[in-house]
Amino acid sequence: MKYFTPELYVRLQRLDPRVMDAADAQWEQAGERYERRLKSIRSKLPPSALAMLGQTRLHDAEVLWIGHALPFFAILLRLDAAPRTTIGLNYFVVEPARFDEGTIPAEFCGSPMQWMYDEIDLGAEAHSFKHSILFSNGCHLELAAREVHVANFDTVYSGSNGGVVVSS
Amino acid sequence: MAANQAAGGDAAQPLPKIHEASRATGGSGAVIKGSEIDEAHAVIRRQRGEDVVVCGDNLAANRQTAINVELAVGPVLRQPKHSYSAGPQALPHFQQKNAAARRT
Repeated sequence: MKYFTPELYVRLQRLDPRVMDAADAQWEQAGERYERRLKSIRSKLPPSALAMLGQTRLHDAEVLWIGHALPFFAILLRLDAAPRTTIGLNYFVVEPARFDEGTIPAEFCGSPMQWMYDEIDLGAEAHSFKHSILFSNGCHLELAAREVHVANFDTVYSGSNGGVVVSS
Repeated sequence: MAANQAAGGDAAQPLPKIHEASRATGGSGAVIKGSEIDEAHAVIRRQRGEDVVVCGDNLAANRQTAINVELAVGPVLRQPKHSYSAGPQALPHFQQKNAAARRT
């Protein structure tokens, strides 16, 4: 994460009003810098990355599963807001993912693991992009990919729902 | 109590108002404001995992009220506004550290 860094997120967690105001200002500046960066690279991003950027709002989505079968890397999420749709992100990666734990001190981590903030940038390879994601449990995922496909899944069967068929 | 102190510093500023809340679907991140409730009712709602929203002209007082409500339920995490991840109309919010995401 270049803009919405774990360090800045930690500063936001201090509940002293002056510290909160300062951290808010830094967060806002980070948002403005990210906005400018996105604007400058938008025309060079792969169409699928642009589509993901425009369509998905994954903040607070619960992470159900993360896995890979190279060159594919997948994340399964359940949206926080009703109707709690299940979303699948399937990346065609161009290099192994980087997955770091412990980027946020335990006292500022939440559970279950949720998607918090993400950033998109150009990848090192031509026609690729980089997607960095910061999760509530302090994990950070960085993917370099050529494509990403987003799917909204309707639940047919969910083991976590007592094994009941909830939709058909 | 902290909410009253925060807002009471400026006699011209009305106290924050707490409302029942729900979240709009469709990715806007918007919060739909419902009936006005008091702080005790807000805490009960939060304990049930339901959302509330704090409204008013004094942003610092709103924030402190939200902290008071959320801390009455348990340890909190603060989530700033983030248009790309949460939607263009999403609000900064507080949520429980160890629960499914619900917010004040």
